[in-house]
Amino acid sequence: MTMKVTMRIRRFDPEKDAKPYWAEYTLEAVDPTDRVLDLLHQVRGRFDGSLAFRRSCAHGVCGSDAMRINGVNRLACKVLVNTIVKGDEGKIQVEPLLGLPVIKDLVVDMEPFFENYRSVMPYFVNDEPPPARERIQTPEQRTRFDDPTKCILCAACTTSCPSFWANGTYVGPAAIVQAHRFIFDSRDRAARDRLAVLSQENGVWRCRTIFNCTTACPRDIKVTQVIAEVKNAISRGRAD
Amino acid sequence: MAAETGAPARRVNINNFETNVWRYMRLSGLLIIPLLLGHLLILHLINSVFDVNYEWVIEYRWGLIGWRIYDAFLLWFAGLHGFLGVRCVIRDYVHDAQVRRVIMVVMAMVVIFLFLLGTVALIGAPFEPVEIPVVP
Ligand code: FES
Repeated sequence: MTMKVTMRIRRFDPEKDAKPYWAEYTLEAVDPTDRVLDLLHQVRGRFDGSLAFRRSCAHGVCGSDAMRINGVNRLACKVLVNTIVKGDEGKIQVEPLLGLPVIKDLVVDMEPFFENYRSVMPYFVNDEPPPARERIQTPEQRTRFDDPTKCILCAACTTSCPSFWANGTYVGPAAIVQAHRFIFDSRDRAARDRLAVLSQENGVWRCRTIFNCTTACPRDIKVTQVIAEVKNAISRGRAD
Repeated sequence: MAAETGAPARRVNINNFETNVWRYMRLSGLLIIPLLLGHLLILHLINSVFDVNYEWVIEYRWGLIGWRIYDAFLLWFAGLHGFLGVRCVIRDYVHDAQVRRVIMVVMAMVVIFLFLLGTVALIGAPFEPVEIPVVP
């Protein structure tokens, strides 16, 4: 059995278009277990070779193809058509991530996102001389920051956040998730510096606990909880 | 057994303005729920708004010092909570720093005026109803 799917795609070519517009492409014989990413490839192959979108791994690992599918942020490579189109005919709407400048079609400029990411020192800091073999950590200490290690920096959370839409100077959920990963790592020594950044005007206090980030995360990270833990660390004055 | 690394209880002393605002919003938010419910109940559900006038307020409310304290809490906690909430919204949506500063200053002045007015009324209002002189 195949299905008929109309792809409604937000298009924009800065060299030709004054502003973005919707274009529709109907694919007659779609396999229900195809993914939205496959359909984008089909549209590009059959209708318009200029359709721009990012993808790399096609298996939910690299985080390249986050986009807004039927109004919610998803990785195109992880959404099966039959989970969003019921019956043998339907429509799928695809647009670029909100809150970041569109470069072309579904490709957004990720630089503001990575600028926020860099501001929280997303790397291991420890100037103490390393022990002879390795910096040891108990399984419990490792578990403390397990959830945020799953992040693939796809930006689905940050660009689903109304607070970020309203004001892009907010550091955003993804950067806080990355900060959490090191703040609660018992081997790291820069928790204080990161929390100092995150307690500023554009830090965690801009989170209004909306939970969009949690539902957007393709890796099922409990993003809002992670943010709350960072808030608590600042408020209680201890990160452990 | 290998020794554990890492400092178990890592103290981070961060006490800045934004953090204190957040703490205040949490605490005042909790506090104003019963305050507002009580206020709503007494002024709008138990009594009709048509009965609430000068005499009523002096006699049943401000004649009792407890009610004045209740109202002072309401004024300060709900008022400041609301002001800080609007501050949040302005910082979200007004991106021009200059414009934002102007709006903040004007808003702060309005709020300070309202607080002063409320405080003067709370402290200065008589405990017994006084005859309001009728202007001929
Ligand atoms: S293409 Fe790599 S996550 Fe989808």
